[in-house]
Parts: sequence; structure tokens; C-alpha cells
Amino acid sequence: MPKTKLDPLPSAAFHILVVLADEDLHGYGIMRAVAAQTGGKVRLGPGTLYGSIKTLLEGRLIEELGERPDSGQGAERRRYYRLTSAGRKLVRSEAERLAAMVRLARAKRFLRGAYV
Amino acid sequence: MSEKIYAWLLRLYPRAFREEYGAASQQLFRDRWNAERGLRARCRLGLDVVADLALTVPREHRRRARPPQPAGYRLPEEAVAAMVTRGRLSAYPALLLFFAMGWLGGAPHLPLLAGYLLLALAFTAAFVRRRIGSKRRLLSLELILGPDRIERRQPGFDLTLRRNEVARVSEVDQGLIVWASDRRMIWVPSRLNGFEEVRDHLAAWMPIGREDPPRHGFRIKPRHAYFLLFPAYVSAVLVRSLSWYLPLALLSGAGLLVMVRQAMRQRPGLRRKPAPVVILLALLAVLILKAAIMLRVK
Repeated sequence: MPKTKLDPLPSAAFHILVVLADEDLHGYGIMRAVAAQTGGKVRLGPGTLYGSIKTLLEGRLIEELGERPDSGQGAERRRYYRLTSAGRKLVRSEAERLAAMVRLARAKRFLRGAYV
Repeated sequence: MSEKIYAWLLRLYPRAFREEYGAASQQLFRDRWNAERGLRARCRLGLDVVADLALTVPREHRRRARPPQPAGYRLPEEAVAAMVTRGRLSAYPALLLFFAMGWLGGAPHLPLLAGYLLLALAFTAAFVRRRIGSKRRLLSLELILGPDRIERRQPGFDLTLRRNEVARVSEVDQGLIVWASDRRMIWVPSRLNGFEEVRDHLAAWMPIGREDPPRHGFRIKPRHAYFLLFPAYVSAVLVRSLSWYLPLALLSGAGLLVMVRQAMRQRPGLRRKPAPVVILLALLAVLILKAAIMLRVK
């Protein structure tokens, strides 16, 4: 079956899209936000991060910003990314898919309690 | 692992990746290096980087070596060729019919013949243009299937239907039609590469129903009628017999009506200021009226 590289959506790409839903971020900002939202469990390395970013840019799910909002140290090397409307739609559908899987796991009694 | 070592390790990536993201990757490493201090944190950073390199260096090389894959389902060229030749319009028989009516009604043969030759040429040019356009549209059609969406990518006709928007999936002679509740639809041609996979995927969403075929095997749309009735003008103008004139004038008048309605639907601006096509049609109507008056005088 012909598939896009984002079908199914890889976990790293999903995390990147989710953190970009709130604000435009650069690579290190994305990495920190992903680490924060996963309690430090997911720390994206440079290769994983920029490989995923490249794929997401090709799929027009994120876009690179022309301007640099930050003017601090290393600002000229930082590249900022923004979620597109297509990316937002994909995050929503992926989240619904994951929610359906969680419901299924609950129904089959793999999950108990209110922690998920 | 210092920044210099990381800069050296970046050479393991393909040149294209290095040129695009090398500086940004180095900056990311530098940020982490500055933020994560202490022996434990630095060890963890080193392990992260080594694991990341082990995973992503082969992937980036594979990505570079891999030829671009088609992202979705497409129609093969031979299927498109067969599809565009199938849809022939029955304008030539209509042309012959009105030609015969004009002949029987005593129209002068030479102008009648010349008129129909011109019309036949115009029809042929229109069909060729339409055929080229259809071929281009069908070749550009691409369907993308996701876990809960179906997407049509076609210049000017892009459409995405999410699974919860799909009201029904119907099987027709030419494939499947995925209907949204608001009447938007995506046609899945049966000649599509991987049609069976698409069908199975959609069948998992909901049962596929059968849509009744049109009663006469094909659907006549108003624009077809205008094409079919248009040749009646030539006969109506040229015919000498009143009994032949009346049905021809009625038919061509109906064609005129459909044509104007169609033009107004496609170009709403026509309602405000008459466009050349409307003026041309009005002139034709006057010509027919004049012919009718002349026949009555006779």
C-alpha cells in the first residue's frame, strides 16, 4: 500500500506537532517542551528532531518562520517553526485515533484507574 | 563529549542534511551542553547523542537513496486513456438528425451543408479540448488514505473527508463514491492503482451500499441538452416549410433557454450586465423570429 511517511504518524513527529500547537518554537525550544510534556521521558536528539522537522516541512504540516523572534545568543542559527492548519488537523485526528485505542484498551481491561 | 567531537560526528550524515540542518543541530547540542551540567547530566547527554546518531544516520542515508515514492493512489496512464475515450457525446447523431430535418423541410442544400460542416468542426474542436482537459485532470488525481480520512489531491479540487463526516459509501459502475452528509463527495475510480485496498479500507469504516445506476445508462445534464439542441438553429433559420420550422424552432428555443441558464449559473455576473454570449443568443433568437415571419408571409 502506498503510504506517506507520516501515515501512521511517528511518535516524535506527533510530539513536535503538539508542542507547536501552543507557540512558535526553535529546535531547542521544541526539545525542551517535548521533554517537559512527557515528564522527561522523551528527549529528542538533534538527528531525530531535525529529521522529523524535515519530514513535517515536506508534508506542509509545519512551516519555517522567516523572522527570528529571539535575538539572544546563537539567534542567527536558530530556526523557528509554526504549526500549519493541515498540521493542526492531523494532530486532532491522530489524538482521536489514540483516544479510540485507549478506549479499546480500557474496554478490554488492559487499563484500570483514572490515570489515563 | 564536547562540541568539537559532535561537529565531527555530524559528518556521518549525508551532505544535504548537514547543509540544511548541521548548524541548527550544533546549536541544539550547544544549548543542551550549556544547560545540562554535572557528570550525570553530561553522561546522559552523551548517551542520548550516540543513540540518536545510531538511529538517524542510517535513516537519513536511506531517505536520500530512496527514489521519491508516490504518496497516494493514482490512475495509471493506460486507464486514463481508456476512460477519456469512453465518454463520447452523441452530438454527431444529433447533428445528422437536424440536418435531415432541414433537408426534408426544403432548406437550401449548400448553406445547410456548409452550416453543418462548420458546426461539426466546432464540436470536434470542443471535444478535443475537453478530452485534453479530462486527461490532465484524471492524471493529476491522487487519493490519500489515512486511518480516519480520505483526501483527494487534484489542482482546484482538493478535498479531505474525515471519517466522521462520511455519510455513506456507494458502489457504482465506475468505482466507489464516498459521500459526506453535506453532499460533498470523492470518487474512487475502479481503475485506480490499489483500488481493492482502498475498498477494503472504506469497508472497514462502514458497509458499502449499491447506488442505483441511472435509468437510461447515462445521465443527461442540461449542458448536454444544449449541445444536442444547438444544431437545430441552422435548420430553423434555413428551413422553408412551416410545419418543419415549428418543431425546430421549439427545440432550438429550449436549447437557448438551457444555454442561458447554464451561463448564468456559471457566471453570476451575467445577471447584472449582459455578457457577449447573452447578446449573441438574443441575436440568434431575433433571426429565428424573422425567419418565422417570412414563412408566414409566404
